[in-house]
Amino acid sequence: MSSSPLGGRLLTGVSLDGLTPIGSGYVRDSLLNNLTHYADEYAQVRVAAGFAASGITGSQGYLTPPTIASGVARADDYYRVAEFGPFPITVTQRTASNTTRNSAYRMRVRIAGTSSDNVHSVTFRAFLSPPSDAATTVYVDDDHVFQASTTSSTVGWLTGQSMGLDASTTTIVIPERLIGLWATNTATLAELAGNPASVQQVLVNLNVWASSTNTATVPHLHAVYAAEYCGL
Amino acid sequence: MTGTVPFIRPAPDESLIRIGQPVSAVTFDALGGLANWLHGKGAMLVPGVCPERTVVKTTPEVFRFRAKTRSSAIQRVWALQVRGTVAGASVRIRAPATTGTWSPYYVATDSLLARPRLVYIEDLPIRSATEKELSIEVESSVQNVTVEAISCYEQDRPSLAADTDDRGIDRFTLGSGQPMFELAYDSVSAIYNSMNAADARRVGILHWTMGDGAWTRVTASSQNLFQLAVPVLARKLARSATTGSVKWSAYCKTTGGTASIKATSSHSGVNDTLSFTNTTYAWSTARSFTIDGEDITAADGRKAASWDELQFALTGPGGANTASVKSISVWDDS
Repeated sequence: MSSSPLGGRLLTGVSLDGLTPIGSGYVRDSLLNNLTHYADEYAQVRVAAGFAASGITGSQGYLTPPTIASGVARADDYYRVAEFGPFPITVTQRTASNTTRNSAYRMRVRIAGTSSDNVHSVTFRAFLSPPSDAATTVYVDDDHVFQASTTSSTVGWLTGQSMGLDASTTTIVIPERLIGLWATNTATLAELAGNPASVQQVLVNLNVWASSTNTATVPHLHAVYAAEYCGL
Repeated sequence: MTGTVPFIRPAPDESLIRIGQPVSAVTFDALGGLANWLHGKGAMLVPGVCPERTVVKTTPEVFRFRAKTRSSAIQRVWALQVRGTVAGASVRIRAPATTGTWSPYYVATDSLLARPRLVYIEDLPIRSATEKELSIEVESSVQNVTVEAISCYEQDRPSLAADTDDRGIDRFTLGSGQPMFELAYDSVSAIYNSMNAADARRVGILHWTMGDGAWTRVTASSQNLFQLAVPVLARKLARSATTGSVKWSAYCKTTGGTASIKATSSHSGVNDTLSFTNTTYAWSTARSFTIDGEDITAADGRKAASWDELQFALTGPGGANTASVKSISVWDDS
């Protein structure tokens, strides 16, 4: 949902100079409206991984969890398929009922996957976590984890939902309690070729792990999409 | 004094702005912070792609992308996932390709191992907002490795300079009791100047690359690229906008004749065709294309609760000639 008063950019044609008086209406409808709308729409596409057909690339056209593919996995355990990132998730202040909180932008998520034998079920989990936390976060049932299952070997986008109270079929979001926990400091420069400096960020991967009900059935990941959305 | 960039996007309180009433310094300070955040927060240039490309040992591989960068960026952060076949092996990476500084990394082989993050920091020589190639090169010395994922973002800025590239606002000049000036980077007018010059694009929309491999086609009939068309969604600008314009380009060549790539949007059926005749690899002139725009009233932002998806189809030149495509890039240029 929009946090700007008008839900879109408003070009007033009025410029600020020393001779032009402005009122509170201009501050609200131009400065506040446009800056907050730009910020709402500054949500970034984080993953847009489409796989070419195998005949094009010469590769198999999907990713698998190497452990399952090698036949040493345990049924229903999750194994790593792909990791995208890390990237700094966008975090914003939100005020409701006179309380200001910090929360992350939501993320639209979509997974395309198949079951290698068209019989047994495979389950994919796409979730956000710091790179080092993937192995534990994959087993968490919360709204930053998206789950989808299939028994089909036909390539297609899967239907799934986030694993927390939201139960959203298209989005995930990092719970507010994790924002502070996952915030870290990253070294950078103060200016071009300048002195060392640091920025605070919540650095996360978009991880995709998978499990299989049958150790001989391999999950195939065919596409992944994840894009931020300011949403409330 | 430089403009400090907040870590968290500020939320100016609309309820504090009352028509006919004075606007407080608290509001102007929050607006100044938000303006600095818009310029200082880095954009995603290359959303995660999966080349699934094997880099043959001792043969470096270059992965190319194209986008219009933002003028406030001074570093790019490349993140790669690379899988080896021999435990304890390493690769080296540099960006930009051929001129960057090599940096070595350890790679893992199995999904259970703690996968090391391959993060490469590319220091930029200048700040610029121009359309350009973004490239990264991977080399493995003792084994073949598979590049599973690549992404790139502009590093966030801790503070901004008071110039036309950064548009940093000195928030001290917005404080309570401070006089109001008409200055480029100070006081209330600086908020307007920053807003007017805001480059708040979601830069990277969709990329595809085969590194130094190529998608080839001889026959003069089309072949789709993706197994499934990939979701896309442009940012919303005007209040009434329901679509957005993006740019796209391909790194391609043909051995002779005319080949073409067609981009098709699933939701609108809108398509655009790029024809090429160049016989050496080059980025095609960027073309404009319309895709769905974000619906900011929807719970997930999708227009009409549907996914707009992009597919590319290559048509060969026919005869004895071959069209080859190494990369395709789609980005927000508006």
